[in-house]
Amino acid sequence: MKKLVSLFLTLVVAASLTACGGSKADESAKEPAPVTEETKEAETPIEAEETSVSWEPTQEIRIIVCYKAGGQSDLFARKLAAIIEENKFLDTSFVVVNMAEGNTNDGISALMEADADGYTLMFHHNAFITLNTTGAINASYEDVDFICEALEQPFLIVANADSKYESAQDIIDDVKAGNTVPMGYSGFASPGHFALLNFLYQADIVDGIQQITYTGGSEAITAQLGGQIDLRSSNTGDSFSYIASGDIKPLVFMSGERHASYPDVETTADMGYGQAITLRSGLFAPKGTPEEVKAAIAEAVKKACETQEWQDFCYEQGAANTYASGEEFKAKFDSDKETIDTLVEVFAEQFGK
Amino acid sequence: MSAFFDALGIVFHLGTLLYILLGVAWGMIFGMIPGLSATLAIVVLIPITYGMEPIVGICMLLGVYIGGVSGGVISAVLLGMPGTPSSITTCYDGYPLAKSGLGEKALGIGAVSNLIGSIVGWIFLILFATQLSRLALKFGPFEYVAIIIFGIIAVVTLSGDSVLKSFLMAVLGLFFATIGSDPTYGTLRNTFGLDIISNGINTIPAMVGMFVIAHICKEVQHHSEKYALPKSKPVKGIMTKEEWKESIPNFLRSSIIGTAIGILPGIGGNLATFVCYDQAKKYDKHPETFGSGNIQGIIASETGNNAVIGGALIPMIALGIPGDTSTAALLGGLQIHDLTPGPLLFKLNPDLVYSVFISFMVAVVFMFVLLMGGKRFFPKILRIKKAFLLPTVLVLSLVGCYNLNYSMKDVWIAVLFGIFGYALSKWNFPMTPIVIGLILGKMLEKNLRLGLSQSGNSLLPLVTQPICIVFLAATVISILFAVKIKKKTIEMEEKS
Repeated sequence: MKKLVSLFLTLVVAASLTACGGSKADESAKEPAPVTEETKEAETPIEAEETSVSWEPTQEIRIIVCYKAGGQSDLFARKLAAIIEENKFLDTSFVVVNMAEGNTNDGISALMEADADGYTLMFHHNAFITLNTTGAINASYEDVDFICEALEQPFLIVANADSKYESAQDIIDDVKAGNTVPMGYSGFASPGHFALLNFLYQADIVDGIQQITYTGGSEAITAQLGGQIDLRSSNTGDSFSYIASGDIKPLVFMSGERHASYPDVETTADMGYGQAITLRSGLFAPKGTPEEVKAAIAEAVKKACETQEWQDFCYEQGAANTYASGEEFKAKFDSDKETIDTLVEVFAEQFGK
Repeated sequence: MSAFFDALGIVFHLGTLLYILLGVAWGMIFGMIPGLSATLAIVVLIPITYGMEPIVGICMLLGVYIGGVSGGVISAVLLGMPGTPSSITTCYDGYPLAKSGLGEKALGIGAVSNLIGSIVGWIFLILFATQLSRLALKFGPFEYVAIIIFGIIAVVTLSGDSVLKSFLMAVLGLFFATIGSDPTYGTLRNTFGLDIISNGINTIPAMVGMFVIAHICKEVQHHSEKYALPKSKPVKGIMTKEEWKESIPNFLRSSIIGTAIGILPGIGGNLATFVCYDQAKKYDKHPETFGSGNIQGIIASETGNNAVIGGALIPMIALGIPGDTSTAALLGGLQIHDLTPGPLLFKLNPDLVYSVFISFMVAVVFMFVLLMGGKRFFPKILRIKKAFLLPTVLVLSLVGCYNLNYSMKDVWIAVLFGIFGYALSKWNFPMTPIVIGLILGKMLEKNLRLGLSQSGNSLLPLVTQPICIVFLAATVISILFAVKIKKKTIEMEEKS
């Protein structure tokens, strides 16, 4: 009898722990989210002026990140959440949940399955487009709601400090002279990959470049610093600190404007090329989330993006802080998709199409 | 120089010291429980460090890392279950010692090994970080392939009685590593259409299954024994003078191996402990006693896995490149606190770097004190009836598996591997090679393909590049050594 009871109790505990869907991470990061009498009274006069009721969260908001802890997306999501919490732009606490499995599939599925009540969000970027177009994931950005964009990061081509290439034109000339030039990048079918492909397409050197795929930024950095590759297409986070230390040099930014930190380095726009692919990150919500919920969250993010703390953080990470509304964010995604569709056709072999 | 004194001031402040102590304790709890790891302990604590001064926050996270790696010895010795993959080899000799009533002694030895391993890693960190990290960059994908081959052969030759069985299990482990997403392109493969393994087989659920669940099943079989552990005999001091003397080469060798492997970005502590254990066994006068309570086994394992910490911090501090998953999380922690890692870290934030160096030692001292102080009490605490102890460990481990990716798949994988592991042990197949195949398989494939991609599909660099040749030669020597030991064992058996 005793054995049966203990077995039963174990099963009950195990079942309840897994069923509640919570985790130690949630528990430890939880803070009470009080809505006091005073706050309610103070808000009434302002509320009366607005046409719609301003949404106030009553529980913790979960932000899903489809990448591992310590990665770029994770970092920005956590920073954004911390700023919003500290300044009480939304009177609640946030917990960032890393779901790195399934090549972003798991994270996106978790978002789509969550209730459209504003308590589950996802911080993601245009990998959503690239992975869907190449068939790596089934979900499309049309299946979710856009809340707002929080930042953009350009990609750039960097070379070893002692490289024979001094500019992007040198690379192009070398290819046109009949040589095959190896170039590394990290993340197959990622926005960074497509930024590179876009450049190759625009510069008409599609066949002359030997693309070397690395799984993550650290791997690509290690290979370049160790002299295994000379050229690499990178995001700002994986290159700026090494440019500053003099280990590598930037050849060209794949963007429309000169970068604030490196105004002397040319851009693909300077070279006469059209729209580049940049990394656009923002917040998403399950489809059908109410408008006032989305508006309240977007407002909080907008205020966070205007803080000095966020601006400084973005500057350090080489990002351009670009708050954009949900509609504008989606429009940018639509425009990116057109470019990406073309590129998948051009590089059909690589993507198994 | 003033930065150094600033750092001293920051670290030796009562508040900071308290945070470091809490961090070490927190890490040790996570390290103790199978399924929860040092990396998780760090990730969970990062948001909590927001309100702190950046440097204090980082010192605390460092304490968590050290505690997390060191805590594994407690469960490995007293429960026979590894708290983290890097304590798997500690179970082999730690648990038999505990079973014969020498649990306290084993914990003491573990504590000292942790201490010495950490210190040696630390010395390399503070003296040679820059030079060693640049050296580590010379290791390209083919060099990694050579090291991994060495590691796999090391494990195959050391496990169990039958090399054939070990080899088969290693190959099985390698196969398991191919299930899931292709490392380069992300396409799914070998999932047989099953959703459960669509994310591949993660190391921790597999380890929890084979070493925790299967172990619990075995313990439940001996239901006549009420307690998992016999009463532990109190021990004066840690080891006898002769034991200390005997252990010196082992301490040194394991520390250096641990540090060296830790420095190579991406490989991490798991491989280090297996190589250390293997080498210790090969150089021991009585290799056949390994696995039944030879203290050298504990020393090799625990010294190795702590030396990895110092090693893994080297590329992190010097280059901003993580040595393993825990340092990757630490890097994230640095960036959240607006400290930019990279080659200029030392120049731009010398006070941070010095604080890391100083708080590392502080955390190591705290860890040692906690372990030495606790070694008498942990056995007593864990002398709960098996009926209460084992289900608790089971539930905590399964929760830990779920917590990895918030996915039930990992929990089911743990259960399946539990059944599988139990079956294996009944038929006398060693489980370690599967784990090592699983852990190293992914890295092996990734590096092999990367190397081929860089060399234009040529395997030539694998046998012509100097570092590769060194490790391949070491592999051959390792095989010869193992054959020699095998012959010796057969001779001894024939004599008796």
